[in-house]
Amino acid sequence: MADDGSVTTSAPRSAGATAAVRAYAQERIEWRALNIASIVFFAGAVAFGVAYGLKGDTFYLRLATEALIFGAVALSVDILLGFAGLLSLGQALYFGLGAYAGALVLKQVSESFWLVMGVSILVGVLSGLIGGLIAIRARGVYFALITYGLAQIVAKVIYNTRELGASDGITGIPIVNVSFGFWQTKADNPAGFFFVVLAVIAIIYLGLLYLSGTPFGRALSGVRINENRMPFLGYRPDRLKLAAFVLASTIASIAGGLYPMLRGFVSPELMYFDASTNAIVATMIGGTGTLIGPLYGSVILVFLKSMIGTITTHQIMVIGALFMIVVIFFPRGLLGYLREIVVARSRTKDGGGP
Amino acid sequence: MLDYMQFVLAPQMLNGFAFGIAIVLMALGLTIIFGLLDVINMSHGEFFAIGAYAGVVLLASGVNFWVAVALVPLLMLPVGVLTERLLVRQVFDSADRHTLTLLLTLGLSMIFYDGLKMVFGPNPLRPDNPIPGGIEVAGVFLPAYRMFLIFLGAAIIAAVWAIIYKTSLGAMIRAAAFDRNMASSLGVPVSAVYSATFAFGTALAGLAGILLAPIFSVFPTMGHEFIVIAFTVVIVGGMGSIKGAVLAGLLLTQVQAIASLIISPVWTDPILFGIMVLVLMFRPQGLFGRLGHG
Amino acid sequence: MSSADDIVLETRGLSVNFGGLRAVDNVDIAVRRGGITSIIGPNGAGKSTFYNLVTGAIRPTAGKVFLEGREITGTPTHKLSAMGLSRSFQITNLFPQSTVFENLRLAAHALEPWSLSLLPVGRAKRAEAKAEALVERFGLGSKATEMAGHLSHGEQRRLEIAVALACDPKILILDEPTQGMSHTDTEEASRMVRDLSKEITIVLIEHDIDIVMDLSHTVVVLAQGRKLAEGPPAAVRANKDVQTAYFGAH
Repeated sequence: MADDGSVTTSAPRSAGATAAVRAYAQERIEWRALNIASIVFFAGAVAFGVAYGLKGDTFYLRLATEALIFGAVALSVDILLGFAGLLSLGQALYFGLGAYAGALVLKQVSESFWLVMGVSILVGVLSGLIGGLIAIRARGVYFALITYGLAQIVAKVIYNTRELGASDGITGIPIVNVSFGFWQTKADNPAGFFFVVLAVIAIIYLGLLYLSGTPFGRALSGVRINENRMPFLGYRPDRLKLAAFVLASTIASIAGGLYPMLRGFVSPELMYFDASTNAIVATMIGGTGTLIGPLYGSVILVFLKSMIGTITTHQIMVIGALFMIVVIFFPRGLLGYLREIVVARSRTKDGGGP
Repeated sequence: MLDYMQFVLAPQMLNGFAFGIAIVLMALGLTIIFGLLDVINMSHGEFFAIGAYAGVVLLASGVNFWVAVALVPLLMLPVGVLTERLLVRQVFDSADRHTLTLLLTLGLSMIFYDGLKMVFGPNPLRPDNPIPGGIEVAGVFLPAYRMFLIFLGAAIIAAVWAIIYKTSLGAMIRAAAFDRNMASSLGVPVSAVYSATFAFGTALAGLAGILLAPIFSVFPTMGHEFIVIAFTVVIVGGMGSIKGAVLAGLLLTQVQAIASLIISPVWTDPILFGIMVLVLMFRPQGLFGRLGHG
Repeated sequence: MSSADDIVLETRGLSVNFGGLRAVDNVDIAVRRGGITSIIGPNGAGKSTFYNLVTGAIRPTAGKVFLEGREITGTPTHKLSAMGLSRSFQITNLFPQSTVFENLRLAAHALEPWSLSLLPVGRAKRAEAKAEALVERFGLGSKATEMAGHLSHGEQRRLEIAVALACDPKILILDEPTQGMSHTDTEEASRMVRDLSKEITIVLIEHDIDIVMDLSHTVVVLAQGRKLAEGPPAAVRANKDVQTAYFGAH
């Protein structure tokens, strides 16, 4: 992806080009649709933030901020499912741990945005190592069930721990000041904090996009596509899966660290199965393995829920039905189909297909 | 010390046993469905809840408890058949079958769970105990309903075992679980066997639901609560193993009962989970093999 | 016993039991450097099991495996590849949703010092060059950007060998490389294997006896988990036991 520019212009089939050049060009076509979609997403987000900021809106900005935060959890699901082929049913655990860590830091240590970010990264790495070492021993559906059990159990323990506020969680979290040196804002400034979160999500997204084009990212894909063959090439799938797990838990934990700043409280529900499910639903709607898809999916999901919420309190039923429709009829998700269409168009010349 | 045994430990273990029997029924459904169809049924917990609510409705409309116990599993059969035909089958031939069936049944569980909340409200309901009272044996009080639950449950478990291992339907199920194509070429109506097995597993979950209803309350999230332990039982016992589900179910619920007494109820789930992780580390396939595989 | 310079792969007393069944029974084999050594046997002779034992997929009940004089019994698979032992699969085992080039690049990159590097893939020029060379060598140039899963059967079998070759093995074990190939494809593949054997040591596990007789300098016959005969093709073909156990069974 980060190759020299001259390559971009050469068609994938141009005579004389080496196999590598043609292969990279082909890959670029596959990402083209997604890259355009991501530019649209982030440009749209900036425009939205500016417009609604000028309007002095609070509700939609906060809703959008929440969508971005949950979008990061969905991204973490996508790293596991879309890259390494691991379905985690407990990604909310790491989100919740980051949120609790953030809340505790803000209340008891220091009202520092950067400290919260640092601590939530640390919490994500450590909890991901522990959870990962347990979960990656199991394959396939066992992996899914273990991540599920792990999240349920930690949530239950926290629910019963008085020091962590038990079922009430932690409330009264102070409003944090976010300073980038050249610009600063407060967490209770809807537009300001929206842009802070947008920046964090953009950095995570770009980092993952970059990673997908490195040998590390490719090796993760190798694990997804054919885990059994990997050791025969000399790779260690267990280590790769652990790395993916830690990466995913860290991103979920960073998202968690942002949550108490936005909402002023944390509660055990953040770790519940529903929260993990939401991240999976968002990922499936947007398209697994597309990275930008889960962000779209999360925005769609959060706004859809809010809209349905004005009609009925039974949003879960509607989301469940939508989810099943996606799984049966559009298992590649919105962006997955977009990519497929673009790739199919670029391949029409040689007929392709088996 | 004797008092402790008599008034605390023994009743606790007895309660654990009654609970264990119901959990085994639920786990049997899960494990049979997995053993045959390779499907992790995430809506199994909701099937259990639906069974309990169906019981509540039948009782409220004046149906005798014993009739309700017999009716609920029958009512669950079409639920199972429809789930298998309309949903599982849609993605069954996909390469990502495991993931897709899991996600699909997950979506279904969301609908059922929210639907139960919509119809019955979020608050717990509790049917009256159909056989109150109990008897005292050697100074230990045995609540009649729990004793009944243990005996009925044990009989059903024996019947399930007999169906799987002694009947021609069971032989077909085991053959299909071992090798779908081979079974099909031997004339086993694989498609019908799949539906029947899914329905059978669903009926067992529903039965567990109504049987536990008079002991625990009936509430919309009950599926979520009980499915975790059912999954733990199935993983520890070995996915697809009937013997494993029975032994692990009874063992783990005893561990749960005793641990909640001597440690704290809060820590019982982490302890069970720890056992599961240990089993997976040393015997990833669980304690016993799969259905149709020896 | 053997000096490391001319024996590349050796097994001593290699055995494995499955349940009560002795699938591989006390097999001693020494593979000389260079050329093609073939292991043949009727179905159920224990070829695949033997192969899985050597390549670390199954642990033996008894016996040892040596690679260039170093014991490798029980060595994890990913290390064997680094030590110079590579294998292809009887049932095509590729990355079907990756391009042909990516299959080879992934394989070629596995043993680079920074196999999990965080620099863009395009920077890894050595792996890239190796993958390109393999694409050309195996006649897959026009298919380089095709998904591996979309290739024809014969092309997939070729890619299978190319992927196994990407880690620069000293010894390459091919498990029925011509499995399911058409006649012309088989001839083509045989020629390719012969060419390869000029560079590296090849162990060919085969069912098709005719291919083996033409190509190999040594043939080992397995039957019912035991080594029945070993020697040059002509001698093995003339062996009475072999004729009854193998050719007789045909």
